[in-house]
Amino acid sequence: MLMNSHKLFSRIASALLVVSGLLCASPLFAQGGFAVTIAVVDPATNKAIADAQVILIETRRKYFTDGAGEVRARVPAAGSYTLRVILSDGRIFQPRVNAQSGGQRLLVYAGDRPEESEDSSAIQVAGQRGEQKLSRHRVRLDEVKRIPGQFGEALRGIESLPGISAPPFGDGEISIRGANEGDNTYLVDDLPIGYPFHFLPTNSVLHNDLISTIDIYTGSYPANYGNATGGIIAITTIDEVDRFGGNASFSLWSANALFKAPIGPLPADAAALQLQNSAESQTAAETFENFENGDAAEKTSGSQPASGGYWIGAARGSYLDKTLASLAQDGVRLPVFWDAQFKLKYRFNPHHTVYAYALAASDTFGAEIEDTPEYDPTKAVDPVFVGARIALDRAFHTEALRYEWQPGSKFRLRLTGLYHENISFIDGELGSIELRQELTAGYASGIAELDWDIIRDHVLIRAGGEFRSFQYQNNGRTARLVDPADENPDLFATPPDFVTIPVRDSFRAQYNSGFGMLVLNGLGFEFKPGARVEYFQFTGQTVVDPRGTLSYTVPKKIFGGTATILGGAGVFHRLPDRNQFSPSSGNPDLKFERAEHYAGGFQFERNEWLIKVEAFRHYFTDLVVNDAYITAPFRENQDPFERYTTPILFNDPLSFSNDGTGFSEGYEIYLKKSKPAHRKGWFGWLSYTWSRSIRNDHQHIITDEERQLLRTANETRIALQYDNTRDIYADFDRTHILNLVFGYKINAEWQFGARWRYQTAAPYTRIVGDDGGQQFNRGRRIFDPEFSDLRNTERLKPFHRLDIRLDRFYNYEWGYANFYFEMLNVYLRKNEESIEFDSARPFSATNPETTLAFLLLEQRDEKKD
Amino acid sequence: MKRLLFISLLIALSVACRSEDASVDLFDAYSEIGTAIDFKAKQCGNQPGYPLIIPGKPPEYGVRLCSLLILNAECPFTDYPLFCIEMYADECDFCDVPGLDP
Repeated sequence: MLMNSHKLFSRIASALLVVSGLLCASPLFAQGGFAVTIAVVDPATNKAIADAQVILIETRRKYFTDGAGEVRARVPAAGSYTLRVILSDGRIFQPRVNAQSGGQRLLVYAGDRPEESEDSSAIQVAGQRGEQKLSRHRVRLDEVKRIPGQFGEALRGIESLPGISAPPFGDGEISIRGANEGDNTYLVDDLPIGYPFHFLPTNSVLHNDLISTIDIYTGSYPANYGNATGGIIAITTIDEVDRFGGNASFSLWSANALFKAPIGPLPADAAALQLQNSAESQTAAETFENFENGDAAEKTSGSQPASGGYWIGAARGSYLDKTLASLAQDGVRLPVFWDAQFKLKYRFNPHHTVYAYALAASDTFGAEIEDTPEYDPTKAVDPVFVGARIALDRAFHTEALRYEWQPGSKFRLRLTGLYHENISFIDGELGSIELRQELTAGYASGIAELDWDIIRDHVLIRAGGEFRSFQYQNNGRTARLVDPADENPDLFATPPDFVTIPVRDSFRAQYNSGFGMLVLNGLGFEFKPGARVEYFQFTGQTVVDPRGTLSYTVPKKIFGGTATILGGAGVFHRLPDRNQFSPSSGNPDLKFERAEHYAGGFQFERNEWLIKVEAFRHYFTDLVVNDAYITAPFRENQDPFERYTTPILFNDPLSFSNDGTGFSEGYEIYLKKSKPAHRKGWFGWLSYTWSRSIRNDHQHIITDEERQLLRTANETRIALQYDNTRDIYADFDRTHILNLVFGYKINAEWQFGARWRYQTAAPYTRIVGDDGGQQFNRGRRIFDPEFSDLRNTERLKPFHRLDIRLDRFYNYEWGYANFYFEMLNVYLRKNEESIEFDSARPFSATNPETTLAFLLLEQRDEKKD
Repeated sequence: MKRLLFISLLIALSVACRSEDASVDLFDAYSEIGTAIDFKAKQCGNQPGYPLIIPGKPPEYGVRLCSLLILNAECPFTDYPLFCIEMYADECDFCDVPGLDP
């Protein structure tokens, strides 16, 4: 007999175990050859290092240095060899040595020698080194790759930086200093990508190990960047490949691999390579070497060769539609996605270098909720979604060729030709809304940029221009409100509140831009005035954006460190989304969105410590908003059939306008402790942001009195001129955001990480009632929620969570394998995620209800007899 | 659209992770069932001549099942659905109807 107890039992936190590893192989050598002595020396003290593990990669043999820091190793033949040196404190180095004869003594430095810190052959214009300090944060791959709670996705690491507002389980969209989500530009080596994250946003569209650094400009970004009113996320890829290698990793939902190889002579031993016999060449080609930027420093002795290059190829594919299919509801086909990247660099000589890039990604998703009877009404699908369906595909690809000419250390010219295209397809139905669109948009462009160091370390000019041929095609149909002034349209009303209209867009337009900026240095000051001009042929609009930053570094040391005062301001523009200026379904007269950024603060650096405090205020104007009232006096009917009877439409809705305004203000505190990538020890940062983000769409709110009084269209139009709106908090506004990130590399085998996040919840509009259940979907009654007039005035409880991660590395002669364990929400915080209204029930004390963040489960006891 | 898709995806993936907090405050239970009764009474023009007594700390499943069954009941509305007895599942053994579970 069952007992009638339904008691709550313990809460459990979900922990996800994600495993990554490397697939490697290495051939064996036959015995023979000759013995050499390898001495491991500390570069700082020139003293021998004892008890260091030395692995000769090609022979897969391990040795330990003696008291004199030496080992005797046997090599099969003369040639170059790779060593993996693991010190007792966990540091790892992979130098290459050139063994030519028996008894030879080979010196290996465990780190950089002071005299080797400057690469004599690498020409670097000063402007490339002098990066903006204000409102810019740079993170290395090794700092963000293993932050807990982001499933190993490095690009997610920027969400822990100051000025970034991102929901705890977001789709990858971030709001930077109060700019709208999506108003940011992502660049990979200054090349565009269509979107940063897949539909399953635990994966970005870039392989982690392709990334070297990520620079995020949260405001006042320099004139060489454009088309963003928020910030710039500039991703730099790795630029050093000295041997063939690669790695692969896999998780429950996807797997990826990266391979790379040098082209031409290896940097370390171009001459020695010529001496290698064919067997050794095969060895080099077949040896899979792993690397991890920073974790295993790849240092070579000797200078760079005059010519040579490398290629890198990476790809990822998903399979969650197979492995996690059981978690999906019936009718939901989980996302399928892939991405691929290819980079090639070849330097003909120190003055001429070419690059080739190919970046691509694709995502598909589908869902259809069938109209099936449910015996238990509590398990029935929300009646709004019964019969709904959606198929969504999207993809992008970017191909580019780049040429760099550096005749000396004072001048650099960079020419880039690229083609970038975004493709999307949507086919969906929800109530009376029917959508079906095939959209392709992209551009071919030619870019020229130059850096000219007129007076070294004092005056630098940067200038450039881009000629972009923009093309846009969109075919299908979309939905539009029958009554634009209907504030609460019903999906299932009869007659329908929405009408389906055709979309037929196809055009080409020039979208050209140019920029110029000066970098002036002297007496501790750094002044960077600049300007950017953009012209969009489709609307005929030209915008000019003056920008500049000024900093002053105190010449004397203060508390043993360097103090810098920072300030900057600028004007920034962004092209509206493509569908918004659609000639057939949008407003082709939309202007650029506009922002003004103002920021100031100071930073203090001492050894591995950085403190940065900044305050900002950003103004946003000409924001594109949904506009129910704006109409075109007349325009051509896009319907291929109706245009014969009604060729011209009068007072046709344009749906969007530039009426939106807003501002954001706040301050940020950033305290960071760095650590050289290859050393053991701890690193981490604290970032705190206080801010508020305000928006106003300036769309007249029709009052109850107006509903009764207004009778004619002209009366309504006059009334709508009166702006009775108020400023409201932006949907993504979060007053307090605090991130604590901690990483501790214990030794070569273990690393521990933790992250604690605190966020004020985003605002929402209170639901105050329902419509009385007036709508039906396939016989099911629907209660439509009614919202308060006080928009975005409510907030859920703050979100905070602690995540931890433990990494275990297994180092082998062929590379390493890495397994990690992550535990999310360690102290089982019941974080509220959203407000959910059940359309099957009327408004009551339990409807709407607060939903908790997923990954927190509650479990019942088993029933007992 | 992207946000809508993502929310759908989260819902799809979190089905197995949905909170199963088993009880509802008495006030909330009366509110939920009371609004269902009010709606049905207005629709049908009548309602049962006796009150529906809800136990203290009723199981959420039982309350939800009862309110939905009331909303979906045919007119005339003269009796409460039999399966509202699930609200008493923690109180008596026979009230836990076999085949009905969260």
